Amino acid sequence: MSGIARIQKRIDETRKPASTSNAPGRELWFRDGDQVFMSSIATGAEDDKFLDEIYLYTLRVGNGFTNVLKDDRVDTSAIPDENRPSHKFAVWAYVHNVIHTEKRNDDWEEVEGPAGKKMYREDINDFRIISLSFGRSDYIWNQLVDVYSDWGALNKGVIRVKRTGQGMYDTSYSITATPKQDVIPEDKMAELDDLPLIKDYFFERYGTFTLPEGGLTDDKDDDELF
Amino acid sequence: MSVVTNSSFQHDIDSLRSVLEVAPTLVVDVETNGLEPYKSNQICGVGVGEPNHLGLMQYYPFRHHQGENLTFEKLQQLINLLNGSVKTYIGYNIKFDLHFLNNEGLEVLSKKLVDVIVMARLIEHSDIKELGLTPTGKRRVGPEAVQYDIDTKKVLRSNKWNKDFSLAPPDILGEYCKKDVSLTADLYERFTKEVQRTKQQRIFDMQCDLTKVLYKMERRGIPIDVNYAKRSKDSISQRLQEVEQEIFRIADTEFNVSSPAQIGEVFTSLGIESPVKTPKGKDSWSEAALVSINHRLAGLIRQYRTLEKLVSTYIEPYVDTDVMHTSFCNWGTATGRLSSRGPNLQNIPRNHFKLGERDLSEEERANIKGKIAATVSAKGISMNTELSDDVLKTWSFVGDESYDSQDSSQISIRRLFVPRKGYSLVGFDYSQMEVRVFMYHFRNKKIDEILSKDDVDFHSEAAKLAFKVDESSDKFKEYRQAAKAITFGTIYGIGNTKLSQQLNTSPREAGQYKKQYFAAMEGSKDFFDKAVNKVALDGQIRSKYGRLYKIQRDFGYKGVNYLVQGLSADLLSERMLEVDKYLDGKKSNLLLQVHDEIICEIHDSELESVPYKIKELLKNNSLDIPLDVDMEIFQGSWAVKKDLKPLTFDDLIDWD
Repeated sequence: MSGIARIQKRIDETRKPASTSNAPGRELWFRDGDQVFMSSIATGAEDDKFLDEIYLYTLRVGNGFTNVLKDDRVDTSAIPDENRPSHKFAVWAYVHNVIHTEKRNDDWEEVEGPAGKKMYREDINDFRIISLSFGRSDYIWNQLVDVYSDWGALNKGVIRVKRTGQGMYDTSYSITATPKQDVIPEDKMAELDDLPLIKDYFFERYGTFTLPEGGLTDDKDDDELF
Repeated sequence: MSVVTNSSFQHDIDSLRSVLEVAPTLVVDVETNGLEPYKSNQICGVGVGEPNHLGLMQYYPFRHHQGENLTFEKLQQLINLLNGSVKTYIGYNIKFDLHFLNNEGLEVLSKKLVDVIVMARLIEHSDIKELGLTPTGKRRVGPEAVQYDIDTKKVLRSNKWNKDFSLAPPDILGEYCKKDVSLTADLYERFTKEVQRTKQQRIFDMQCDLTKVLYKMERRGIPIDVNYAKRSKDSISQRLQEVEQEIFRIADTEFNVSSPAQIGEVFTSLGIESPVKTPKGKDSWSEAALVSINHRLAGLIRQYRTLEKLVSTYIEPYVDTDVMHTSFCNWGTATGRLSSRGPNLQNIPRNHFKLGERDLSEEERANIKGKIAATVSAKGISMNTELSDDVLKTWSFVGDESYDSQDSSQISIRRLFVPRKGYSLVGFDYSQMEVRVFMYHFRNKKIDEILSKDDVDFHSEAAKLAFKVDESSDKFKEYRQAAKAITFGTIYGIGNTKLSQQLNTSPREAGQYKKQYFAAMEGSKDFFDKAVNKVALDGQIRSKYGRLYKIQRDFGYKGVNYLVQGLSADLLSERMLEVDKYLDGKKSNLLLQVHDEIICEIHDSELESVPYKIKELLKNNSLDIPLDVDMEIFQGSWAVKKDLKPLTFDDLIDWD
C-alpha cells in the first residue's frame, strides 16, 4: 500500500465512529459519490430478522466520534440531554462492490464510463450492514419501500445505493432497484445463520458508554455522519 | 330468437342459465356503435346462442338510441352468468367481440376461445381470400343463408344507421344479430366435421390457444410516444410543403400531386412518357413508373407520395393514442402466417427517413440503385434507364435501419413505440428461419452439419457446396448471392427468367446455376419435385405440422412455399404458446409478432433471467429443427437496438 493510501486509511478509520467493542465492524460507510451494489438478504416481510430500526447517538469524543446505541440494555444516562439519537433503519445485505469517484486504494479497479469518465470499483463480496437515517419526511426510507413495492420483496435483485454530497444539509441518498439479479455464492449463503440480529450487532458494537474524562467535544463536525 | 325486454329478462336469462348448465359453450356476437373497443365505442347489444344453431338464441339490447333497452344492472347479471357458467366461447373473428365484452367485465382468459374464421382458413382453398362471415356463409351454406345480411345492411344504410348500429332499434338489429349467431353456429358445426375429416385437429387446437395469446397481446398493446408523433407530423408536413413547392417550380404549374391523372398531364406537357403501361395500354404513373423515369420531377413526386403515406398511415392515427392495440389475424394468410391490422406491423418501415436532401456517397448511390432495381423487379418490369445524380438524390430521404435520436431531421416510425415505465422492449428474431425450415425438409448428415453450426450463414455454405468456391475467391460474393437467390427462389417458386433478372444474367445461365445448386444440396430437388407432384396429383399438400393446403393443381410450386412458410409460421405459433405459458405469473409480456420476430416487454426485475429463458424456449421445438434466435434490447424505443447480453455491474453505474 502506498504512503498516501496508508495515511488516507488511517484518516478514514478515525473518521468512522469508533466502536465501543472489539467486534469486527460490518457496517458500510459511504463517502460523497459512492455507489454500493448490494443484494439484500432482508426480505422486508413481517418476520424479517435482517431488517430493523435503531436509535443511535453519535458523540464527538476528542478528535473522533463514538456511537452509542439507544437501547434498554444500554445505560445512556451520562449522555447530555441535548444530544439526540438519530433514527436509522438497517439491513443486512450481500455487498458486491462499491464504486468510488476517487481512487484511495491501489486494489480498486478503474472503470471507464461514457465520455471517458473514470470511477473505481472496490470489490467487497461479503455481508455488510447498510444503515441509513430515514431522511427528511422519510424520503430515504420511502425509496426502500418503493423497491419493496416494485419487487414484492427486497431480495429480488441488486439494489444500488448512492450517496451525493458531504455535509449534514447537502447530503442525499438514492436507493434504486436495478434490473440485475445476482446470486449470492453458496458458501456465503451458508454463513447466513451466523449473522447476528441487527439490534444485537449494534448492541455488541455500540452498547457500552462511559463519559470520557474530558467530557464530550462541543464543536460538532457533521461531515461523514450521514 | 327473442329480443330480450325488461319484462322477459328473468325468464330469458333463466333459460340461458339452464342451457349453460347442460352445455357451457356459447356462441357470442356483439353489435356496437363503432369499431374501436379501446376508444369510446361500446356494445349496444349482445347476441348469444347455443352452438346447435337451432337452439336458444337471444339478443340483449343495452345502448340503442331507440326502442327498449335493458338496464345496466341486467347487463351485469348477464356478464355474471357468463363468467360463472361458460367454459368455451365461439365467435366469428371472436377477439373483436371479446374486447368489447371484456370492457363490460367479461372474463376471457380463463375460457377456451374458438374462432370460426380460423376454422375457415384451415378448411377453405388457399386461393380464397374473402373469409368474412357473409362470403364464407354464402360459399358454405348458400346465398339464401346470407340474404339477411344484404337486406339488413340496406335498411341500415337507408336510415344512415350503418356507421353506428346503436342508432337502429333493437328489433331490427336483434334479428340481424340472431342470424349472425345462427350462421356462426352453423359454420362451426360444418367446420368441426371438416377439421376432423381433414385430420387438422392438432393444428386447430393450437390455433384456439393462439387466439387467446393474441387476444392478450392485443389487449396489452404497446405504448406510443405521442409527443414524438406530434413532432414528426409537424416536421414531415413542413417537408411536404418544401417538396411540393419544388415540384410546382419544376412543373411550372400547380397541380394535385396526389392525382395520377394530373401527374400524367404534367409529364405529357413536359414531353415525358411513362415506361410502364396500364393493361389498357395507357401511361401508368404508378410507383414502378415513377422510379423508372429519369427526371427529378418523378423522384420528387415519389418522395412526396411516400412521406404523405407515412404521415397518414403511421403517424396521424397515433397523435392522440397512448397505446397501440394492433389486431392480429391468425386467419389472415393462406400459409398460416400471422397478419395484423391497425396498423399492419409487417409494413412498418425498419429504416428511418431523412427530411431534406443531401449529397450521396458512391456506396449510397449503389444502394439506392439496388433498391430501385428491387422495386422495379418486384413489379415484373425490366428497367433500362440509368438515373442521373439529381434524380438519385431525391431518394436520399430514405435512410437505413440505424436511428440517431440526436438528429432531429431523422424520422423513424419505430421510434413511436416505447416501453412502459419499468420495462424494456426486447426482440427475439429467428435467424434465417425459412432457410432452416426449407433445409429441414431434406435434412441429411451434410445439412445437419450446416444447421448445427454457430452463427452460420446458410447462403455462404450453400455457395461453397454448390459452386465449389470458398470465401477467398474474388467471386465468392457473387456466388453467395446466386445461392441465396436460388434458395429463396425455390421457396417462393420463381422461374429462370425472374432468377436471371435478380442475378443479372441470362435465363439459361440462371438455369445452370440452379442445376448445380440442386445437385449439391442433396435432396433439395427431390423435395421440390415431390411437393410439385403431390399438388399436381391431389390438389392439396399437408405440412409436417398437419396443416392441409388446398392448391390449384397447376401451381405446384406454391406447395413448396406453403410447406416452408406455413411450417415456419406454425412453429412460431407453437413457440409463442410456450413463451406465454412461461410468462404466466410474471410481470413480462408478449407484445408483438412481426415477420419472424417476437417483441416482448420485459420487466426490469426480470431482465436478468426471463429473456434468456424465452430465447431457449423459442429455440426448442416439437420438430427438433435446429433454430437460432437473435436477442436484442431496444433502447428507449423500437428504433434503436443492441444485442442483449447479461448485465454487468458496470452497466448499472450511475455516471452522472
